[in-house]
Amino acid sequence: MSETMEQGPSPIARHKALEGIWGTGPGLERLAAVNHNILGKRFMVAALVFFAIGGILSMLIRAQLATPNSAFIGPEIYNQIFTMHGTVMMFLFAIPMFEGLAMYLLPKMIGARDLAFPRLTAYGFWCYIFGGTILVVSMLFGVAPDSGWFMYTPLSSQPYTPGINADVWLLGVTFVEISAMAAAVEIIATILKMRAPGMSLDRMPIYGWYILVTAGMMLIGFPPLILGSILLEMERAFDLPFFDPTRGGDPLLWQHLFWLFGHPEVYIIFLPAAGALSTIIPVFARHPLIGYRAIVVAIIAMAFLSFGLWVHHMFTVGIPHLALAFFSAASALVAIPTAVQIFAWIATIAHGRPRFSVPMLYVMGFFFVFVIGGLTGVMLAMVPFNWQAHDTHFVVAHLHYVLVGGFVFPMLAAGYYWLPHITGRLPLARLSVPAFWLIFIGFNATFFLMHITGLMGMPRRIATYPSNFGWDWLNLLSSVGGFILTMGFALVLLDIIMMFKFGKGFRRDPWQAGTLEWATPTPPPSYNFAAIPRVTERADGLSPRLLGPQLARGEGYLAHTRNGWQETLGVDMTTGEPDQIIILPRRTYLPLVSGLVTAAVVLCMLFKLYWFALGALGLLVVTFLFWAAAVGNKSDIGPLPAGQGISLPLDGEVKGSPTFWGVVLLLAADATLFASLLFGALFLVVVAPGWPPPALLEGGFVPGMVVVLAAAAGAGLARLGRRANAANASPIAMQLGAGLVQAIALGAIFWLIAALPDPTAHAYSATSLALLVYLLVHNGIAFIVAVHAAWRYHAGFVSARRATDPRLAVLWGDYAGFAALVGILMLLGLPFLATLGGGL
Amino acid sequence: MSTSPVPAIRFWLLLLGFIAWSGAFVLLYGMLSVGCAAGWHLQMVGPMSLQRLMLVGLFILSLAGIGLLTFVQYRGWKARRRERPAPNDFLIAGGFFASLAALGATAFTFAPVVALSPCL
Repeated sequence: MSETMEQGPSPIARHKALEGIWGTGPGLERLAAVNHNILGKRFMVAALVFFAIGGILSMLIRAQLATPNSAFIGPEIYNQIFTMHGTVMMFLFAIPMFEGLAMYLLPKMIGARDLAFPRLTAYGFWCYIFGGTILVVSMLFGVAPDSGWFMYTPLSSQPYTPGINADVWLLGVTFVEISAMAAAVEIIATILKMRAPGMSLDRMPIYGWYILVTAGMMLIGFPPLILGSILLEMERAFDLPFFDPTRGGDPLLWQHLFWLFGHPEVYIIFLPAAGALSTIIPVFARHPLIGYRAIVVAIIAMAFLSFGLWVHHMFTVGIPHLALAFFSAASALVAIPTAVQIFAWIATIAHGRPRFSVPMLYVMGFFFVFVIGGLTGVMLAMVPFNWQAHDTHFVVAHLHYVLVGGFVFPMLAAGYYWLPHITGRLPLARLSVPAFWLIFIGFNATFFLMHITGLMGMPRRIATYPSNFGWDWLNLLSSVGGFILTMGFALVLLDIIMMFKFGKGFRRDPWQAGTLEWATPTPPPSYNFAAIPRVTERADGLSPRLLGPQLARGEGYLAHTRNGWQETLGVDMTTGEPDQIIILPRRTYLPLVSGLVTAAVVLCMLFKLYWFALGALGLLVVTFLFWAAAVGNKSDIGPLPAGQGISLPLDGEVKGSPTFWGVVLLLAADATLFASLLFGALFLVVVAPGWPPPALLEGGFVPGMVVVLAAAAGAGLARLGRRANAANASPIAMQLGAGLVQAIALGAIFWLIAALPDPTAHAYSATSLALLVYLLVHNGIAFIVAVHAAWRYHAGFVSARRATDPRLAVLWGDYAGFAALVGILMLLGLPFLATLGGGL
Repeated sequence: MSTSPVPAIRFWLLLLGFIAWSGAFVLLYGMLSVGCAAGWHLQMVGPMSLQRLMLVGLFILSLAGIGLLTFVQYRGWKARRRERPAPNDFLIAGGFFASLAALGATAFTFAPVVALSPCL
């Protein structure tokens, strides 16, 4: 085993050695990049491109609405434009923008050299780019989604949207969501397992808490939308009537699934921006953040409460008043943790000696705009007012005040604050100040007036309006404001270009910040830190100017290169004490290949080439198996020196590796999707019209029991395999046995599918089919993982100590067993419930 | 490699109160829908409908459960504060205050079950 550069060499020699391992080469090799510095920047640049596209669409909307009876755009194109404006801004700008910033910053802030799963970062990026491209290109062909960004059924169902417009949204957005789920998993795993030694949870910079909570919300919040999109696409493609009230479905199920995602989404967008504010304000106030603990509790409260508000988007659909009261109360309640943060920021500024540099201008803009948005939010949380203002421009004004105030203003502050880190140059400020005022004035001119047009009764989503309602001059002024706003953004773009070209260079930490990212050279090298620091106080009160040179000299952990490995430290989740050396995978084209094959699956679905889609899906599984083939060692290595006098085992030789936790997190998201499916089935039984169904599953008990017993046996055999492996015996027989019984479970699931009544006849059969397909996929994965674990042992990658593969087989086996038990209980219970209901 | 003086389970203390609030939310909203569909609001049990009896019972259970959790966390926090040298009580104190917030949220969110018409 070769080991070089422990403490001795010069900082430059150490830099060259580390860069040789972590760096990404020029030319086509750029496509193989997996480094978080590169991918974080790519995410942000792509998000800005999509922001520009969404902005152009908004200009077209304002041009159309500037005057009454406008013939500028016809209603069909207008429908596509406002749908795509919302879709682009929410799915292709806001979320990827914060993901990109978090990917770029987070490892540096917590003292890691990269994210936990670099190839997943790259795969997520390609899914985002390809999915976003499908959505945007559809506009060029005139087949863009046109049912509103929330795709309400029945408008988006096949009879009312017969083209591929809605399919583009359902498939394109789901494709993009893969990147969001990937980001959520790796952000949580990174924060919990890869902080700098000594960085216990209470020493974590506040930005880390915000991003941790946000990623947790994404993990739970996105699966309902993914499920809803799959079900609606299945309805459109195969006539399975999940949302068709004439066949036992219910359009309200779509609204529930959409807003179960859609409302937390607002907070998923706001919280990272608030994290940036909590980082920036103390720096410019020159005072530590007041109320660190209160803020941590507030963001946890906010995360949970935000999941209890989804029905406030559905106050007018006819839900019992008592239920409305639950959601109204929760909607009002969420203002409290928001206010805790706002008062903490104001107190920090009040106790400090604030300097009003450009980022602080945007912070002040945020306070003004977001507080107005918050107050109108409380108004809309009140059911009687909501009934009056529902679907009017008042809501358009509110949501823009919340989202632009709560995301765009903080992100502009964050941009001016962190761009020097990316560019190594300082902003010029000459253009920055007028740009801020253009944006601030333009935004308020555009959207404040919409409160008034809304209160005067102007509905959302109308392509034009007559001139006798008194809306004319307000709309004209809104449009003028919109163009001023655009000029402001154009000036920001020019300002950034000028910064790249003429901005002054600086040595380190130009803002006198106290967080670790400023201890890296700027622009940062691919490996972030030549040595990983030990943190002995809260990691937003450090001295990066002193720390940076120490780390460059190798005074810290892992200040060496070894075997060409990309090494970083793994730590205990709560205390931050180091417990492993994590070897990260190096650059590879595999994420790009998997991304392209995923795009092939989506395109085949879009063009209704379903057999080809199945083939591409099989190919995708094969590409993922290649990912696994590239990792692991064929011999036990044991503890290795990690610097500072300690030795640690490799991540492949410990129980709690990031890979293990990554799969646990993935399964948590998967369980949320499953819970959403169960909720959907029960919702239809209880609420939907047209029940009981005309025909029920007969003879399902025997195959159902076979599924449950086989899946349970699969889980048991996977555990026995792990136990045998721990005792230095071969687990191959157990694992192949687990694969065999999972195959038996698959056969029994096919048997059940064949026994189902026609799934196009009633939502009962369609829902039962969806449950069985879910089990099919999960028992299928458990089968593949079990057989793969056996192969890995046979190939020499597994030993009693190197046991990640058998552990993953146990995880999947357990989950498949659990899903089989619950799924079959629901399947066999549905006929009983169905006969009770209509509903119930 | 050092051993952990703070068990990882304490991370969950931060979340437990609001996990319980979420559970109460799902339970109450779900049972409200089931009760309305099954006509429990039309069946009287003494002075109140079966539906209200069930909802108020669940509300009280939720309050009691989250209240007990908060009390246990409060005692843990107090005990921790008496230790010398003063230990790091971030997760314990944070957990207590989060649970206290969840208790308040439970009372505020579900109090309408006492008075509002359940199925109107």
